[in-house]
Amino acid sequence: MTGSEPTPPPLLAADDLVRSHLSGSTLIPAVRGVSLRIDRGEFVAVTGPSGAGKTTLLHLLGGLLRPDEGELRLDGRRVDRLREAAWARLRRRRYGIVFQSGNLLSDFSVADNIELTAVLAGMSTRTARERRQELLADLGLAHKATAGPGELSGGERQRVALARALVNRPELLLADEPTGNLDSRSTRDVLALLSRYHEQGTTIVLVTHDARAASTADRVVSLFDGRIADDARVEEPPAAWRSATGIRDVIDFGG
Amino acid sequence: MRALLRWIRADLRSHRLHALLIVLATGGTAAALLLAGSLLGAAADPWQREFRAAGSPDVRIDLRPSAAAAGGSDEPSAELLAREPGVVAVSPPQHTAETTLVGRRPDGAPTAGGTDRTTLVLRADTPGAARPLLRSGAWLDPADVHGIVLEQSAADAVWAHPGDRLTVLDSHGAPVELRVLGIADSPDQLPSQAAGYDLGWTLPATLDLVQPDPAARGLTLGLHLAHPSDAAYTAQRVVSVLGPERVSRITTWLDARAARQQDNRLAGLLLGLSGLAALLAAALAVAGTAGARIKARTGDIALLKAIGFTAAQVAWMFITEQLLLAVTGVLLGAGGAAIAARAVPAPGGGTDALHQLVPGGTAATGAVMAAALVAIGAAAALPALRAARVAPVPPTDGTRPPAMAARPVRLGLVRRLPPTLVLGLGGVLRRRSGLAGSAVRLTVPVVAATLALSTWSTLDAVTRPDGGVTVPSVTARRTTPAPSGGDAQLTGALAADPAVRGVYPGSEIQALAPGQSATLTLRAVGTTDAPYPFSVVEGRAIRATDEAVAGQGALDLLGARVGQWVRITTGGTPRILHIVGRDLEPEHGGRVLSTGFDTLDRPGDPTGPDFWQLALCPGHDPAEVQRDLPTRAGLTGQVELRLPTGPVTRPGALRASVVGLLLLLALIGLVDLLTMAAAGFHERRRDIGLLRAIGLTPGQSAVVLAVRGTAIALAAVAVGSAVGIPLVRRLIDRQGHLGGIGAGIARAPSAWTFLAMAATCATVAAVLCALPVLRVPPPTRGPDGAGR
Ligand SMILES: Nc1ncnc2c1ncn2[C@@H]1O[C@H](COP(=O)(O)OP(=O)(O)O)[C@@H](O)[C@H]1O
Ligand SMILES: [Mg+2]
Repeated sequence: MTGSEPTPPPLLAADDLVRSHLSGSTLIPAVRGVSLRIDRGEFVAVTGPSGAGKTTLLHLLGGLLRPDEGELRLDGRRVDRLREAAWARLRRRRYGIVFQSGNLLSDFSVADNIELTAVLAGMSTRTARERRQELLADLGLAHKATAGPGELSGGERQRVALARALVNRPELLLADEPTGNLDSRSTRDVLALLSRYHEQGTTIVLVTHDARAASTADRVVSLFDGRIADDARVEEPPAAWRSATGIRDVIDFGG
Repeated sequence: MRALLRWIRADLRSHRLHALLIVLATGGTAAALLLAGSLLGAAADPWQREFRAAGSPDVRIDLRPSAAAAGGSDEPSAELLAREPGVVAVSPPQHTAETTLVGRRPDGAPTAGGTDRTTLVLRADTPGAARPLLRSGAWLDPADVHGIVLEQSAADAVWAHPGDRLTVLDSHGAPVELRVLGIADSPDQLPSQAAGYDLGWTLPATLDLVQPDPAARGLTLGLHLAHPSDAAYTAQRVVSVLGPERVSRITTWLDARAARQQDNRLAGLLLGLSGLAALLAAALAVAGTAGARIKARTGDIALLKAIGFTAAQVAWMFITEQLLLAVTGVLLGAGGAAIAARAVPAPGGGTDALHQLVPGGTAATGAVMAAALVAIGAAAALPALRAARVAPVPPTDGTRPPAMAARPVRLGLVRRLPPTLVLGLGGVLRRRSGLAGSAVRLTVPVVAATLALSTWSTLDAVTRPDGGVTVPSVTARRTTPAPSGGDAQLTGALAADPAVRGVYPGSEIQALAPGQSATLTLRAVGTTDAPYPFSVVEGRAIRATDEAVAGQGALDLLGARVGQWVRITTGGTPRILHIVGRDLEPEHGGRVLSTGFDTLDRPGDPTGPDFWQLALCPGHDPAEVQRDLPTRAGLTGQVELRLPTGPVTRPGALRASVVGLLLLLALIGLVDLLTMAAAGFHERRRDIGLLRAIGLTPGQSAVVLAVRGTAIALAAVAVGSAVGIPLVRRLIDRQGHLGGIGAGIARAPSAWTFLAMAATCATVAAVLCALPVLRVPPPTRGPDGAGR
């Protein structure tokens, strides 16, 4: 985990992932063979048209869905066959996930929403509270701690969702269109925050169909019809975050 | 787990009302069950206490005279029995002698009728044997060989008081006069009606007086058991050890208890059943609310799992939360029950408060509380397991089925129904499965309420003098010798009283069924010309001599049905009676055959009435008549009036319990309605938003949901009462049958009661369904707006 090995395994390595959804009695293929390596400290944007399978891929990477075929490795360890409870424990400490919508427990205050995640990750109640206060202050939402999700605007809600996802200091942040319904100012705020956490070392996978959002990342993976159509670096990542092996982009159209 | 507790805390904080209602419903249910248990226990307990106080044996064995049975001597049998496993002690054998009681004379004066002939068993008071509990008068005087202490029910049967003189026939048929010194209750003894003989205690010397031959005397002994629950088994063993020809009768404490605790059993049982129904209703209500909340929060649950809650944790979270509420409720309920029990006097009429009468005390209380917890925990667990299976992916928008079905709307437009009504009913018709669940949940408390209400109306009918179950009446008996002019003056004075509808001469004699050791009572009241208005519930009334109506207990004893001819013997005279009907007979466990006085025309039958049965005009309270009539009619000191035995005494505490139970059921119903309203609102809030967007006023959209709620509530009340009324009739009649009074005392609540219940349910449902709609903000927010 500390990367003392000469060639540490990638943080996340997907190999030929396949996943279909059952809709009624028909199988809808959503991800049709995706191989992807995500190294520690990377900021990867996943783009593509609606229905391309971006959300499904993100859910596969987070263990929220189980792949029909293919392998998934976290730190070189097979995780695609893990039981649901084991995945839950992984997510608690190592993942932060922001969904497209429905990110907050509807009957809980902003503070409760954030602290619950922190406590679940093993923080003491006091640390959880401090961390929540810190994050909310960071996001300019300190005054909304006692508000319910219903009292927030869309932008505020997505920022709280980010705070919730970041409170356990995850190694890997998966964000599904966090700027989807936001106005340009809120979008800018959220993206700035992502950049900041990226700079602090968090590995980020950002699903978006917004070109400007994608340009924040240092690598853009284009998804089309359940397959990776393109995988390109936007610019050289800062040297500090370059892994020893460099970034090997894997483009794979296999199914 | 801290996160789990944290979630529970936050969840409870955001659902205070829900939590409060669950706590109240659980607590109320626990309290209702505990109180019902206490009532049932209280019905038995005065007996239990006395049984212990009297040191009564668990098994009593009456042995035949050794001459008749040709068995060994008496002492070995006691030793034999002492060696039986489980027998702790054998009481010293007491000799008994059978005599015939032929007359009673109050205060030395000659008796009026006095031709009852009953078997009176004299039991010799033996040192070391358990003595009965003295009720009035004094215990035997060693100097008075003519003294007798009569058993309570025997004294009641022959109207004997301390000081009275009894005439019995000794073994040679010669009259012997005994003086009643006292009246005592023996808790291990069957009442004389059930036992078939009257019992009295005398000095051993008295036995020599009436039965000089020791070999012709019987023997009775009692066994004290290590485990009283083994009594039935021990009784079997005793018969095989002593030989069946030697044993004339075995009674266990179970028989004695069963014979004595019929009074409040009916009501206690109904309350217990309603309490169980309430438990079921509460469990269903908890399952319903838990289920509805889980359904409404699928997104939240998915999110919880996405942030790292395991399936087991999610399930435990919901179960723990519900159990916390249930534990709080049960503890509050137990406390409430304890307070209520302190306030409510014991229905047996003792001075003890109910709480001292809980049988088994803390063990039973603990069991009831544990049962309530288990039921409610299980009810919460099922939906919790559903929650555990929710996929960790929050549902995306747009996965909802289309909002409005076209058909009902078009139908409504054709018929020009108000659109709100059509939309509401459309919702009912389209989501039938979910609605069926709501309706079923609401049906259970309605059934329970029907039970409770029927308990009330049945109590009302059997305790109110003009309630219609039996004819209100009192029994009059002369206390002074009849004047030479006969009874005409007395009956005239009685009949002239405004409260009295009719005066009917009566006499009761003991009768034996062929091949039966138990006796029944042949009661002759009224005449063929002026028949007594028996409350005949099956068959017809008496029209001729030798016709009789029977109580259920008598029918069971004789193995007869209405319409059959039965053979009985009275005082050695065989008699054949035609049973033309069944009446409701609360006395003597229903073992009564009632006929006209002119049926008693055989030799040895009473020549004149022993008493007069006064049928009262409707609206007159027998207790008042008993108090006021003698002075009003100028008969003070000449007559003694008695009240009839009712199937239920002291209904006050039971009434209070019924009211409490109804309140509880209302609360449970409220929880169900709230759940239904919340689920309906959750299901249709997008529709409502849409409807408001296209121009329905808040009021109109509220009506849409109110129609739905009202329809469900009405369906639940209709189904609940349709199921409940026949059920409760069966239950009450069955209990009545067991008690001997027979089927036919059940009274369903009036139609108005049900209409009121339906109206209340419908109104509350409508209001609860409509209220949240009025609070929905206009649909201006984004898709994630206003929370989910
Ligand atoms: N739960 C589901 N049930 C059935 N089909 C689904 C489900 N989720 C996604 N799909 C289908 O899978 C395909 C990919 O969906 P998704 O991964 O959400 O794409 P994107 O996020 O790129 O829009 C789409 O055709 C979508 O309709
Ligand atoms: Mg998507």
